[in-house]
Amino acid sequence: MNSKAVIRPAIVLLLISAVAAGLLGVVSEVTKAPIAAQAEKSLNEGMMAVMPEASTFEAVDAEFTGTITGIYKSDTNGFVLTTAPGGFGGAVNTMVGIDADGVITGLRVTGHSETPGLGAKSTEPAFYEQFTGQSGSVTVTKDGGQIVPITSSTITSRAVCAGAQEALDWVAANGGAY
Amino acid sequence: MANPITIIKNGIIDENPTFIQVIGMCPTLAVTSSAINGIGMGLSTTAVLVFANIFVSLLRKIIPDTVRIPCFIVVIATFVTIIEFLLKAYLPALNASLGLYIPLIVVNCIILARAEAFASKNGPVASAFDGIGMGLGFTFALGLLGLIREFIGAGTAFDMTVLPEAFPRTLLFVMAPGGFFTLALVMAVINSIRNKKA
Repeated sequence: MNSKAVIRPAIVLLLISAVAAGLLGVVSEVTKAPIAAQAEKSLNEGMMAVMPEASTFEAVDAEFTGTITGIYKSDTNGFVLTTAPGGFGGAVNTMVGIDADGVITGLRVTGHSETPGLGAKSTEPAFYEQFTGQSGSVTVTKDGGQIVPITSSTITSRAVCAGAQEALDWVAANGGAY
Repeated sequence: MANPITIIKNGIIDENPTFIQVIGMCPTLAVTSSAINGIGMGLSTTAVLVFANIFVSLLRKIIPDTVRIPCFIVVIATFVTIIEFLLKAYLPALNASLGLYIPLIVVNCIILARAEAFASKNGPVASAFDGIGMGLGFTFALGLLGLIREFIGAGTAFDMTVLPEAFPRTLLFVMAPGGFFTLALVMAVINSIRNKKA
């Protein structure tokens, strides 16, 4: 093999990769601000949904325990926590609003990979609205609690309860300190 | 250049990537638990296919044979990433439903297969039509599989409940094994029709 047969392909591949890398850098730079804005907007919309009475939220600088992924304090002295308890098909991302009295103001499942038609029903109001107004401990009826689980999806239902419980426990233990 | 309509028809029917060529099986089985997921994956793949085909075709005379595969992969991965960035920034609603599948497109062998089998041998316009045809064929196949699976498994069509609540659902169909069963059944039906014609 002569050296030309090696060098030419290498240079072409190098050039194509360099152009691709440059292009990606430009697109990444251009879209950075809009992506951050979108993420913040969707986070804010989610927080407004689980705590309708609040109008502003501020991230709390605390150590996250368990599956907690985010803690925010509202202007009404309530907290919104995001948790990612393990479900049937992976983490079930939940967002829980808890007011100053330790009562859940709302809960949403914001992301999941549960089975369609089963665990995926956790995103429907019939399920998540059961959490509104709960405090202290939340478990499914099968475990002696008050949440009616989704039919054939006890694992998902338990995961959502576990997420809500983690949020409640955190607020009970640390809420006063922030 | 061959007739664009022939190229598109070729992708959708005669050489349907899923049912006839049987390539890209991983996303096919993974995302078809509902019709909307299937169509979403299909359309995102179509977009990447069209652009990747055009660029591979434009670069086909520059790219030496020995390094064509890495070059194709770089082109494909670049497009997928750009589309991912743009969706995240400007179409968050679409990103919320498709975001999961976009990175999967890079590893979808349909795109590499078309770059290798078609775009590297044909002009950019024909390659664009090939991308559209193959993409729509893939979209149609995934949508059909998703529709059958969610109808039998969850009693819904396009996420709306169509079967009465009392009607029993065969949950297996929305789970992983159901993907294999449905694909096998649909391919059996298609093959029996094709055999009769031939």
